[in-house]
Amino acid sequence: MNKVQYQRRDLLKRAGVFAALAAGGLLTAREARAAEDALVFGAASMREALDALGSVPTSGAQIVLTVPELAENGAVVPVTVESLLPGTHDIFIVVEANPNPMVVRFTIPQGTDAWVSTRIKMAESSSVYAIVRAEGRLYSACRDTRVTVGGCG
Amino acid sequence: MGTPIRIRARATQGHTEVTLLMPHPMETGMRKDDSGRFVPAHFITEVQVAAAGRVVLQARLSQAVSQDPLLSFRYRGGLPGDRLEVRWSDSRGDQRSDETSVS
Repeated sequence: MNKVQYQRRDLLKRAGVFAALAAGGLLTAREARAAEDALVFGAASMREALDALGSVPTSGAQIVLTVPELAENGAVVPVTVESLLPGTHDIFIVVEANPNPMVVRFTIPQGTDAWVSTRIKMAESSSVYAIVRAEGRLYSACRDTRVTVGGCG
Repeated sequence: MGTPIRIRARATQGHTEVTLLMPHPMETGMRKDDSGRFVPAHFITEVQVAAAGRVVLQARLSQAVSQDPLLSFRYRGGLPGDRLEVRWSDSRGDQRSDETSVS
């Protein structure tokens, strides 16, 4: 395979590209979103999920991730994320040790606060990440949660 | 199909706070039933909330959101009486939509 093709394939693995194609009118925003979701939610590792998002997030002190240090029941772990980053567009919750790490994406329209709360399943003790996309860039915050009884069975 | 979505939406001090509870099994596909067979994956994938006709939240869920997904969020503005509509669709193509008035 020649170099150009290789680069193209490498590029297509990075979902940031889908946004660019949408901006260029080659894909609708909806198609671009669906293409990114398929990669991000299909990822079988944290690294694969981050690749699909297009870049490695920088750690963001302006993200407040609230998750218990000890979760007795991995089937129901409360998580709350607040982003103080201007222009927050997406909030992702990722559990590194889950079989599919990407748990949920919230898309925050203008006029909605960058604050969300939900309950998630954790297969085992793991780092939990909140990843925020704000003005096209990725930021993350991380907390470790110990799980007594896993929640995927 | 399914059980009605429980929606609480309250306007307070320039914001509207919304809490949703969507009854759904959220099967991961990795759980075995009593006879030892895997229960097929079945989970909500998309949620959209609109207030007075404007989208105020959109979410993509995986099987790792807990059974009977609970979501809370808040948006600026909103008045008592505004119509709030919640719609989900799941991995089998089922969908459900319910609405309430902001209180």
